[in-house]
Amino acid sequence: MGQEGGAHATDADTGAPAPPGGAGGQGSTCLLIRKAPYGASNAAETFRTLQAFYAFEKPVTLLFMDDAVLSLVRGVDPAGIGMRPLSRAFADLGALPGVGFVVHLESLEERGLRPDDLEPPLEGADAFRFVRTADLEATLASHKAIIRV
Amino acid sequence: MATLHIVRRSPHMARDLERALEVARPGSHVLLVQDAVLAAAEGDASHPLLERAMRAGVAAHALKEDLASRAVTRVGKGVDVVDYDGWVDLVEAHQPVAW
Repeated sequence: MGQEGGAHATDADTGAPAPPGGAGGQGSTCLLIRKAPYGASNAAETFRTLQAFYAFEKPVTLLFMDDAVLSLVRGVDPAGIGMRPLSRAFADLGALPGVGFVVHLESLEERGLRPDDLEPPLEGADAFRFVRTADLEATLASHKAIIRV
Repeated sequence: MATLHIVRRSPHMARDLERALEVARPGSHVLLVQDAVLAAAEGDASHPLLERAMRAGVAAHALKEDLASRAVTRVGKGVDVVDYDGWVDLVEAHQPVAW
């Protein structure tokens, strides 16, 4: 497993479709998040859904793909549109037991972003796992259920 | 258990089909419902996407009722047309992912 982007771990080049740290595997649920963070209420829905899983101690993976990777970019300032930045809040969720993060690497690259551009997880929390398209289906399949948020 | 990618939106209005087919591995299935059935139409600009995936070993299915309600009468070779019962069978037999 290589290192890319400081606290962010990536095994995207290994081809290993293992479940993300802290989540994934039999019995866990994957929340597939694809929409941009500030245009609609999807992010809020994600938080609410995640709260439910956490309350019932059910392991859950947040999989960020397409425009949803923008939810994790650090340094955004949406105050002008009456919003608060979501990236820190999302990254902090990684400190919760049973919550794992997967980020689709090509979605980042298509937007000119790198793992370094994302908000780093809290110290001690599981690192984000970066997955390439070729391994994404295996990552999805490692969960018992997949919910599109 | 193989994955069943369920695509709903039109291939001309969203990238869902493109994404699903990028992610799909040989042996996986894609089910086109609602406006996504347009990709099953022979001659549709998006159909080559589906043809490439089928050549790579992805099985393609399209919902009969949605094809009929969009006047798609000529379905591309290799596309399996299913009814609602067939949809249920596919979901039961695979790991579904909705795009």
